[in-house]
Amino acid sequence: MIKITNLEKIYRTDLVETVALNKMSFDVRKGEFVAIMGPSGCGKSTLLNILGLLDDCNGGSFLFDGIEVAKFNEQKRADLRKKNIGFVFQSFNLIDELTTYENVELPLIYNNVKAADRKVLVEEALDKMQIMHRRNHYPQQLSGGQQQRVAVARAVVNNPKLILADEPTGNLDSHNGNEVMDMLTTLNGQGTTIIMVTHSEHDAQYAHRIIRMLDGEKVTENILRELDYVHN
Amino acid sequence: MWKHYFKTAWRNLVKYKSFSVINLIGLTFGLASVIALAFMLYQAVTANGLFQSKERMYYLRSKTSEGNMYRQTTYPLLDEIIKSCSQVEAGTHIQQWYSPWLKYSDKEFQQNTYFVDTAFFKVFSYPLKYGNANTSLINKYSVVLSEDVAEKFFGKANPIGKTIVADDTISLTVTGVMRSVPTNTTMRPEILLTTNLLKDNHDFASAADWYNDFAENYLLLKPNADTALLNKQINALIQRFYVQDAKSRKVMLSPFNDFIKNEAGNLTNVMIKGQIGMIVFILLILVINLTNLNTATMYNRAKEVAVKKMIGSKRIQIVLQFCIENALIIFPSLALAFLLFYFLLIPQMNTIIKSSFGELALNMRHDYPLISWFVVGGLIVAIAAASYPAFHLNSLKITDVVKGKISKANKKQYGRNIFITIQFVLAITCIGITLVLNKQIHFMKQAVLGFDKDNVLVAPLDLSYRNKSAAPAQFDALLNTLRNNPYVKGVSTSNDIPASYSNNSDTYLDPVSNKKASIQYFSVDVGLIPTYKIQMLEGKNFDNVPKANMANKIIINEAAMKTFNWQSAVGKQIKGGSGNAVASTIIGVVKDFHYANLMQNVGPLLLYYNDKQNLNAQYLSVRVEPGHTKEIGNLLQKKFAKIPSRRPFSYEFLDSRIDDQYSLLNGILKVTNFVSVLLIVIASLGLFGLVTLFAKQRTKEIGIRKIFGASTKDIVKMLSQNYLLLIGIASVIALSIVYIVMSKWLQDFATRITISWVLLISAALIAVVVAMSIVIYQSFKAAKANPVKSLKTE
Repeated sequence: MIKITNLEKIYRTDLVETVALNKMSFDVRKGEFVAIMGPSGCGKSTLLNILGLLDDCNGGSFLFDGIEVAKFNEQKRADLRKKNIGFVFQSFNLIDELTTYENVELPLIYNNVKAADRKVLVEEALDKMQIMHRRNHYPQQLSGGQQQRVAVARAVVNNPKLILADEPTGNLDSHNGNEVMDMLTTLNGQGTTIIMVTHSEHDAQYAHRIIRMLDGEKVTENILRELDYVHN
Repeated sequence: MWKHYFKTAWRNLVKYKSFSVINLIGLTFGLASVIALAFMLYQAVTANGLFQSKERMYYLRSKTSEGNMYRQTTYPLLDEIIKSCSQVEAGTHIQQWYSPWLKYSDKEFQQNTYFVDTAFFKVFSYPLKYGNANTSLINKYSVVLSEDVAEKFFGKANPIGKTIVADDTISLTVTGVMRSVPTNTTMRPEILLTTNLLKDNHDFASAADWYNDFAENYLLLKPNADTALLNKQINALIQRFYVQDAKSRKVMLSPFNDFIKNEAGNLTNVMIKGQIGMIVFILLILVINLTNLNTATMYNRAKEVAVKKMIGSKRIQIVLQFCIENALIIFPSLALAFLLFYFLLIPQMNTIIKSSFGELALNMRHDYPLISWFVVGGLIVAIAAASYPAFHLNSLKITDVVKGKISKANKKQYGRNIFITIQFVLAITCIGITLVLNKQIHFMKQAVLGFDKDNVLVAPLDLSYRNKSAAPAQFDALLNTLRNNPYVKGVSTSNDIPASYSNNSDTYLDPVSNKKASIQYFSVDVGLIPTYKIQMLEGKNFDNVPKANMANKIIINEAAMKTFNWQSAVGKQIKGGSGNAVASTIIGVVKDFHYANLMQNVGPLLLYYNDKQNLNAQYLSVRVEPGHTKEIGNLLQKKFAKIPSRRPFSYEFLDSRIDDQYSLLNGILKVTNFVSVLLIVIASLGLFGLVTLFAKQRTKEIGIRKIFGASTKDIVKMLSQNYLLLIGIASVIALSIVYIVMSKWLQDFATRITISWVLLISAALIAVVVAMSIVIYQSFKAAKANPVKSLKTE
């Protein structure tokens, strides 16, 4: 589903040039759950942003579902992103001014889904994440675990092919953290491809494969378990 | 402590640089305009403040049976009032009849001259630099000079007792010098001569009867005088002395305090009201801008306030800090505004309104109270704009703020929305008024005049010729040259010309039906009708013959014919004037033309024959073939240079003279145009600040929305649709106001536009386009930001 080859990202200022990704190459199959690990500043988040089509790269190739997207302009990236990718962040990134329901509804609005269909999809997602009873609450009125469930509901409501999770349990206690990891595993089990950046060895164990990075390069790759089947 | 206040205030101003600059620019231009408008008002309100007994000063106004009001009466009336009414302490005529040339040594000047009575200084307490106010006007041959004129003649020396010769014939003795008076004094005489001297003038003496109203009268009443009783007494005098045809007039006392209001005309009163309106508009928009920007930055400062309170700051100290921050913007703006006002706006405004309001001049000696009011005003604005955010932040719970439980964007924005709406109501109202005004003035300029204003040169002929016997013959020769010039299409010498007409009316009678009507009259020659291309409806023009050959022959206009309900007027007779006037025969009727102010309807008019074309007329008018005006102008210059005169010859084009009639209207237009632009700019600057700030406050939200699929268009729509709605509401309110107010105002114009919806909508469109382009531009900038970076904020 994803194939990156010699991907490069360089940050330049007047004084320094920082290589965030140095000719990085790997691929992710459809339905796979990949964990990316490494010390702070090794380029994990940069990689995730490029994979999420939030940022561009300076060189290399990036095939998404067989399409070369490395040279896509912002508009094309945005179109591809909103149809195919869901995001889960460490700090949840919910909009304070919107209720639980409205936060989850947001991606559907931007995908021009009809109001009636939206209602069904949002309620389904909230149900799945067991947060329906909090549908009219604002983020400030929810616990961290509840907020992350809302965030996951928002990430999946559009039924994306790929979920990118950036340290999804970083702000949660172990109980809530485990619940979120279970949800992601369940989603993965239902066919959604997941790429997760994490510092937690515990969380990484949920993945099929762990890619370890250092200084913008892939250093090791461990396969924890085989993918049961390849989704078409 | 104060050092701390100033330090934090300064740092905050620097931190929110763009808002500080927005406020500074908006305030500077806004306050400069407020100062200028307030200063004009101040001058109008404090006008004539130098007269000690201003409350007891009155002047006389006449009212005809048709309801026309003017400030002249018959000349002898005042003397009878003083003689018979015990409540009058003193009275004086102020008579302008002619201004003699005054000569001292080799210096000769002609200045604005008033003929006044002995008691002039009792009524008008102009301070004298030299001479005695009680005695200076007793002698018939006295002359009192203004300080400026005295200096022109005599330098700094005391001129009392010096002799000045008037028109090479009359020796006058200088008996007084008046000190310079404030510029907002209605009458600032340059030369005072005695009415006793004027009585020697034959024309004056024959006109000063109990019929002709040309004398201005000013009275000082005794304390607690009963004006109602006095009015009765005055009207009893009218019944006793006025000739039969004039007995229907009424004369009444009017307080001198109302002089400007009564005499300056409707437009001036509208202008004063307009100024008050504009001051309120601008101030409101400024305070709203400040409050809005203060409120918008408020939540960014909640933590600062909470921490300060935690470590012991009192509420009042927080409020004080906010006030000082505002003052740090307001007072430099006030200083800049004052410089702008002094060096740019005063000269500008003088070119606009000098003729109606007196020259604007700031004099620290007289006007310091106004300046201290500006400072007090600045303080009030600082406190008003700072109080809401300061008090609100004070009321928040410290623990909530420190824990970040206060969401800055989740607060209800009703207050701010109302403020923005008010701002745009004010701005759009002003734009709407300006558009209506522009269209009306343009419409009036295009109005059918009834004569052809193009390619006509007009020259005043009253130049005080040095050789009185030779000049007329030289002029006759010039007239012949003009008549024979192939490029000259018409020549006229007349006492009146269209667009320079001063009202002269009389009551005329149709001896057949006995119908009476008040009709304006106009003195013309043979050339006026063809030169101005005024159309004849019936009958014929005068002939170029001596006056006696045209005796009792007149031409009237269409309106006059309608007044007497005639289908045709040629051959009919009317009688006019006082006593047993001889009937005049109508020889022609002209189509109506705008002979007076273009704001008025064309009233009934009578054209009487002045004389054969000669130099005694007031104006020379020459119609020239297009493309040759300059050539004929030069010819006139050359010929008049050979007729020696004290005053230099000059000519101008009729169309520019007509444009001058709109000078006050054009002035009002300039001011409203300026204020409209100012209001929309200030309101938009405020909006710019708000949008920038909100976009900044919502950076993270924008980032999240973009990550989940929002396009740039979605973000721009989200950030700007609220403003579009508010401006829409403001437009509806503002345009209703404009429609109601301006429809009423337009009633004052004889020829007027109707206010169309297109016009109103264009006013709203201007505001929408200006404001929304700013909003959309700022929203677009925010929407284009990289969402990855946006998520890292906070």
